[in-house]
Amino acid sequence: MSSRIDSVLYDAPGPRARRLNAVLTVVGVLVIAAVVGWVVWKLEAAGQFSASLWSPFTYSDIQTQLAAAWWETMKVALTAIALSIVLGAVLAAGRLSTSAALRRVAATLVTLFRTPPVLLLMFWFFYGARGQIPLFWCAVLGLTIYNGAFLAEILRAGVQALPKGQAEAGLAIGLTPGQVLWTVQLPQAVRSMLPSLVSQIVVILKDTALAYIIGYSELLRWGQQAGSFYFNLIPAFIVIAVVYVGTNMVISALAKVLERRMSTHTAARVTPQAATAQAGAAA
Amino acid sequence: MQVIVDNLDAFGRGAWGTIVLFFWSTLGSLVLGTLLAVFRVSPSPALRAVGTIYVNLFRNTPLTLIMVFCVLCLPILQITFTEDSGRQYRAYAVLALVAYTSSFVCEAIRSGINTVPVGQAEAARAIGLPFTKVLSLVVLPQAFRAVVPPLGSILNALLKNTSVASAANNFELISAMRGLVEQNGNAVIAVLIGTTVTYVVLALLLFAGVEVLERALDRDRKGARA
Repeated sequence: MSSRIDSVLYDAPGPRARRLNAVLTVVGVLVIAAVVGWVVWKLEAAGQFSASLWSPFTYSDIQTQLAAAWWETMKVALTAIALSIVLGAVLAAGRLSTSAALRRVAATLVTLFRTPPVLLLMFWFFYGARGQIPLFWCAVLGLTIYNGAFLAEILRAGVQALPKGQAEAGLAIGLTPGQVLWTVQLPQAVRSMLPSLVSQIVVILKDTALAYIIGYSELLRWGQQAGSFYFNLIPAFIVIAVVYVGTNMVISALAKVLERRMSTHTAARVTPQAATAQAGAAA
Repeated sequence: MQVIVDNLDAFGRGAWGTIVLFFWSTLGSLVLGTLLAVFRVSPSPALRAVGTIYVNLFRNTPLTLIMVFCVLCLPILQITFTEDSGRQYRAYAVLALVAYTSSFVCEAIRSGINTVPVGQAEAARAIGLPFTKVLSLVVLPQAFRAVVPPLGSILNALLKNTSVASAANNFELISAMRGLVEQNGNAVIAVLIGTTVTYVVLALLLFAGVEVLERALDRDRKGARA
């Protein structure tokens, strides 16, 4: 939490500091208001607030199209999320396996999968198969490979952060190392790494917009086409931005609820910081 | 593989385009990200709110959306930077990358501030430093050190994200690759391999750079302790 250091950076303000803070706040707010005002002025100068540009979004057929485009994006996202969780778990199991050869193979794959941009991975499926793979699957597979590698690293870090006793207890009651991993360690790692896992899921959802570049019809493409059709590009982009941000915020909020519910089942508390630093803020 | 050798100059120009985009976006997002982080820990609730809104907005918006918005919508608003259209598109792409990446840089620096031991800030305050000096002389230099590893992965993501600029009429590795694929329909796999290898080389260079920086900062700290 930030409150720890926030409170120590400065004292409870005295009269002078309060005055200074007030002045700074006013100045800061004025500067930001000027920036916002400039943007609004630019929008107004370009006639972007005229009702005719916004009214198409009140038509029910446009709203139906918007919902359909949103669902296209969600289909890509949900498929990619499901597949990359599977791939991530398999790669993590490989990296944590008792066989050195398997560990090396999994480590190489993880590095290979997460070094190139997602967009390039999508193009691998698109150009590499000479258009034989439908655009939907080019997008899904590109996202899966890239994010699977990141999820694998998050899960691995979660398993390694567990207390040793968990694995030892599992082995002591006669489970095989594989059983220990799948029934004891990974479930706990998933719970403790939930924040990082959810931010990776948000990354997947955002990166579905890359499918726009390979030509798949999803939310962003719909926004661009509708905006060109009704000559209201800017309102169209604002509307789909609101849809993206809203969807991501709902996912994050759901994750918080889930986290609170799950935290009671976690045997071991793990701080996700070390692992987050490794997994990084990807695309 | 002949196609790679024959088109080394195209890969070179593509890589240069990627590097130029990366360089300016890094510079811009470090500056804006630090500023936002200062906002987010400042004593003024209004500035804190501005920082929080910015971060939540841009972290949850797809980069591709920001990129396409910059290219298609800023001209409608008559927001332009130069006459030269090539430079114009590059400026739009850098703007989009900076707007997006700053929110991640801000969060990395903010959590870096949290890793600085409380005693450091307390000691700085005890010798009478005001808020700005507590931050600029004591807390931020130490926070930057803790921030280097996560910043490294943010820059790594930024390097890969420059590929999105290909959707904004910028010439970089992906655009170079698409051009080559169209000219060399019989050697598509080789072109894809060439592009991937170029990205790997760039990522390794970046990794080496971050490593050097990390070691240099570490040496500083040891020097200060001795």
